[in-house]
Amino acid sequence: MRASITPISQSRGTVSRVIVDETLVVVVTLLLCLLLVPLVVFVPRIFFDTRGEPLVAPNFRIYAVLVRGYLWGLLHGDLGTTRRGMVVTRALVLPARHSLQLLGVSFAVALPLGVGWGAVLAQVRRRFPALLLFGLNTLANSLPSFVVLLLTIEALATLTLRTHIRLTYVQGYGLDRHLLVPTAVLALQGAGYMARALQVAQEEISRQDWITVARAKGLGGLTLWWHHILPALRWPLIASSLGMLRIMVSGLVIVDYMYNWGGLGQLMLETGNNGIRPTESNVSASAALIIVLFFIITDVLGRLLTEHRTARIQ
Amino acid sequence: MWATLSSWWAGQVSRTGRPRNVPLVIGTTLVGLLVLCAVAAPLLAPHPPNQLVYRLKDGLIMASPYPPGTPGLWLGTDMIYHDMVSRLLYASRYTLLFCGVAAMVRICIGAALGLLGGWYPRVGRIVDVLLSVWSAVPSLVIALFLIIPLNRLANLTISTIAYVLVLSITGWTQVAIGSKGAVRQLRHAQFIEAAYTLGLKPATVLRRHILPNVRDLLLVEAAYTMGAALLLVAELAFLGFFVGGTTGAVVRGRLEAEPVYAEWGSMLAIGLRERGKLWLLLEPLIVFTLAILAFNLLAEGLRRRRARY
Repeated sequence: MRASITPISQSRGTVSRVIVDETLVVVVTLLLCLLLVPLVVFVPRIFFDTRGEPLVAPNFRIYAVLVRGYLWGLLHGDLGTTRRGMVVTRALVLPARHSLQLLGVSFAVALPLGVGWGAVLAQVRRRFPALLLFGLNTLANSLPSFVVLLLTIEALATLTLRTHIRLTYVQGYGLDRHLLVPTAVLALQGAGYMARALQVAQEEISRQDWITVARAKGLGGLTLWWHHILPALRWPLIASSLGMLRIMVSGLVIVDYMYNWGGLGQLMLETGNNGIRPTESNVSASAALIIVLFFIITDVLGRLLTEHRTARIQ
Repeated sequence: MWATLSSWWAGQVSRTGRPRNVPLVIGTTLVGLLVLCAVAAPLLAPHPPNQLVYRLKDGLIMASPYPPGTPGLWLGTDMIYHDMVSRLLYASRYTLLFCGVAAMVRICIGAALGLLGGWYPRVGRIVDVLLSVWSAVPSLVIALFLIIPLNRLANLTISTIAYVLVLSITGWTQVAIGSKGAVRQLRHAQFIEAAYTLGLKPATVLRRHILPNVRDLLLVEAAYTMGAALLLVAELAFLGFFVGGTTGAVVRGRLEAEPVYAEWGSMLAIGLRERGKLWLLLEPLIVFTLAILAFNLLAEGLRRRRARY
């Protein structure tokens, strides 16, 4: 095993430096994202007026005023009201809760599925089962989430229409059978990603010196996997869980919109699509910011874990 | 001889005796077929993409769209009498061209930042921040809000260039992260230290010794990036945004939307609008999925080949 133990003083120095560095990166990233999101979301206002009619010439002044107004409102906790007269910050609470519920359930389903799939993918050596598993995995990773959702909805709707048997709902929010389809779509996507990531990690671990030594000493099969590969898979497992979460949040935007789940994705895309009105753009920008914050947190956690791993095993 | 041949056919080893790389073989074949379709579209397509193809019944033109299996029209037609086979074949040209250009730009931006960030530690911190910011905002969000106004621009050339640019400026972060990590690993390699001993400057070492060693990785990333660009185009099309937009076409007294470019994204968007005619939706959907699958398989195959050496 090529691991060397880092001296305590050096290790402390490394850890504190990593924390300081990461804090700086996070603060700067947060500030830049706060600026970038409204800069992107308000772009349509350069070319269109409040009724959605194209302007004769691009109006950058209005754009600057709106972005400044949004940032000022964000600082003071007042983002105005929506078209329906609801305070923007309040309008975000329910969709955020809906999105979190869907994400939580999907994650809980995807995690064991991904781990099991990854373990099987890496362990199966027989040609046809391996090829089949690999093909399924590549398909799950390649199929856009909206394709899976669209085909599932079409199939379920046709089945209900022809047989009058309603297996599940094909759109809408609810913590009952409504959860089945969007959870299945998101979990499939997440588990596919995780399985591939774990397979790659397992292949890399299998090439390490200590595995070769263990093999040379006569270990093999499940014993080798249990005693040497599995402990080393701990960090890749956490890292791939975070990656899976990212993939699922990216998919959530479209799934949410398409399934009428009433989450942040739907809110952002609907208000974004006809979000020429400034207040609607405020809603889109705020929904996008929540998603961006989520991504920043997962990224920071991922980086910290990677740094920790490299600091421990050199 | 027979044993070698049979084991090669069984997929255990290649002709050279190494384990056979199935994803690379399938991926290359599929990508090759796609490129062939794009290049030879005028030879393969039965009709030009914008030609109206009618079928008569009792001397009258039958109402569109024609379903798949109509004589002479394997995959049917769309609402404005365009043959779907011809349309899909010609569409591969525009789609692969736009996505290919976007993927190349993504690779250039990602590789440049990754190399500089991995090689010069001070630049590395700036690149880290840039990567954190850009990867925190989902590609779909950036692309969507930038494409909303572009889609309504009157100037076709500008809107097309802007669409490809928007596709290009998203999604380069994975390339940058990959190449930065690879450069960091190579920085302390023996041959790099040997190059320094010979008196080479850091910039020269980067150009002569690091870049050639990262080339394989960039090839893998290029294939993944192409798949990602196709996925983004499909997602945008699903939301109703595609390159060039549409013009109005009057067909049998009805105003129909006619996409400016014969492109898979526009076909998908039109297919989504015509929900009753499932083939209009399924055909571009299948082609998109196949293309994404092909590039992902190619990338996986290239990754495996790289890992082997």
